[in-house]
Amino acid sequence: MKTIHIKHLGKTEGHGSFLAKLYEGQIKEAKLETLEGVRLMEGILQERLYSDAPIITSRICGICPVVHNLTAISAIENVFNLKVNQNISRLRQIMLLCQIIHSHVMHLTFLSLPDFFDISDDLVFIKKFSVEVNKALTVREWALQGLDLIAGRVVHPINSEVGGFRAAPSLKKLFLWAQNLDNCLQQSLSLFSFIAKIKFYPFSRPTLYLSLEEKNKYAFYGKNKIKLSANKQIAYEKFLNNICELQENGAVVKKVRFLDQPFMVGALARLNNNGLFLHPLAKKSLMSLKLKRPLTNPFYNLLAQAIEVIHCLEELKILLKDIEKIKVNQLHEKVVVGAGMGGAFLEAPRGILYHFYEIDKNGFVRKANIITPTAAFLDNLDYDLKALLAQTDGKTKSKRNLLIKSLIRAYDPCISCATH
Amino acid sequence: MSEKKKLFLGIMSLTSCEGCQFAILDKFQEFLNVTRRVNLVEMRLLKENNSNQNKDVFDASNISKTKKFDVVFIEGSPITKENIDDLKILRRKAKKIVALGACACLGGIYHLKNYYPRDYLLSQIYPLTSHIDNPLILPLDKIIQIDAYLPGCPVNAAEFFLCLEQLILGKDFVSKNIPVCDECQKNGYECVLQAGEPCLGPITLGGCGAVCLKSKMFCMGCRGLRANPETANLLKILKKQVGAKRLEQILEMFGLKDKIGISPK
Repeated sequence: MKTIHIKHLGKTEGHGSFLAKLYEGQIKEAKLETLEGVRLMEGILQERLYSDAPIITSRICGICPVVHNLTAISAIENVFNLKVNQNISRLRQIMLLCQIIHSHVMHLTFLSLPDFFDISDDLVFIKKFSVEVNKALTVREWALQGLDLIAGRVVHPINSEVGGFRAAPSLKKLFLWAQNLDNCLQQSLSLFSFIAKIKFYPFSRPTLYLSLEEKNKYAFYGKNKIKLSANKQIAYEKFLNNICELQENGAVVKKVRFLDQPFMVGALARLNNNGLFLHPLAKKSLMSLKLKRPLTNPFYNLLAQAIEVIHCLEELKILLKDIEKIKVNQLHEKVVVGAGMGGAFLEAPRGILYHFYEIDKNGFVRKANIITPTAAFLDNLDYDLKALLAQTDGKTKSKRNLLIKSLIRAYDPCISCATH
Repeated sequence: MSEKKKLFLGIMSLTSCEGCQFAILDKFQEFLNVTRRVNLVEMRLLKENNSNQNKDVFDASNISKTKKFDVVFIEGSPITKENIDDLKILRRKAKKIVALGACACLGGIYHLKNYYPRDYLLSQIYPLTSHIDNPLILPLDKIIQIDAYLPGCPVNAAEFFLCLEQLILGKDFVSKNIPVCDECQKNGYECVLQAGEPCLGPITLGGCGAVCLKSKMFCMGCRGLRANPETANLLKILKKQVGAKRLEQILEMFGLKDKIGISPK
């Protein structure tokens, strides 16, 4: 029995290790082990007032608290049958797009790209590629600024709540912030070009790609369907009835399977399912790659993220037009508390996020269930790791280990989210 | 400054959302500037140990290969056995340990677990799984000696840089003992307590810039109690405003309930 154990992986959100067991040359097991302790976030929501849920669930993760906050809010508004007005939903869409941008740039610049230059210390990477990194950071800082203005704080959001926003963002500041968008768009195109030059390891495995659906749109706020490919979709109900959360002894993460199959979610999945609906500059970038679609190399998740940053900025350009005309006295709807249950799906940076709440007549949570994108794709990652490991026979241990770590990081796992 | 004289710094997390580290990294230029003045030996988010990459079994973190740290910032909760072992190892290797954020200082939001029958919650959420460590959530100073505290959920990045500056200069760091109300009033924010909201500002340690109050969100006490707070009067008012049950829930959010001495339900 041979064991490969890369303990305490760096440059991932949350703690994990890679573990593989081989018996007489055959790979018996290959997986990402999560090392985070049990936090029981779904448990501590019970018996608490509904308004605590967006606050508590933000603390699931330090890189994507905004999407947890927004998903909790959407789910609870579904329970209360509350539909918010255009002013509120527009600001929330802006928040979600900024979340996607800042998370993707963080992942690309600090967690994943250095692998493809065989650099293990980000500070070395930043020095060597200071021009490109500064461009990336310009875009990230702009997105963080937007979140500060609308959400009150990036880690963890304060201003957004069930029913709308507590305080009106400064329209003047939003207008000024919007003026820097075009510059960011330029920087994001540069970032894409930089990534497009990388020769990724040619790996591929037949994979089911899942993402949210919104008619004729590159969906982040979904409507009622889950896309199983560019052309196939199923209702939320059917999806939820056909997934299972796997429990393994000692494991805090519950990996998810759909119809007993592993699947991938995130930028690559969204790109494969919605590529047709990319905005012009993003689409042009995708076409320039001249790659056969759907893209089935998980390393291309980096390209997908870079393309999404461009697309999100183009989408924001539309949403921010005349932003100073938003009606600040209409940023809060009346919340009528009532018993019920409901859920919401949003696309987090890493893929489909689902929150479900059952609430009693006084507004206290009776039950909560949360399915995070990383928990959803970890099983698929394990299958990919097993297949990739099988291809590393002729390589040195160093090269093999780097390849394994690169694949894990290319997926952009958020281990804290997975082990909520 | 020669490499040898630079402070050996580690920034790490136990079980956490890593939000405190991201809050700091979000001020990236300032972070980059300070890294030039220290030896950032361990920060898992930004660097890996590659020295043993030619092996089958190795540790990719820099903790085990580092013999001594001058300063280590630790965020998160000690939940797994490994978390607790790491804490003890770090205490042996580090001259100064700073508890980073509410989880490390107070127990944080996961502290809410302590108010529930914990094993019942575990069996509810993991009905088919066994062998999961599920201890009482403790702040770091219940396990090891802590030399300084940076409270908040997340920490205030400006306060982190101030603290690190002090430590680089060989000085101590202690947050100023002011209530959140101080900064709230200085910034001209509307007093939500007077508007009927259950704000814990008067008894909570300031230094956060009253950031929640800026968004008209009442203070939930994430930075912990300030020294010598006058809790009795405030609690009387809050009980009238939101009722005993809701008040208790708010005090539970960041564990202030335990510090005030209200017995758990």
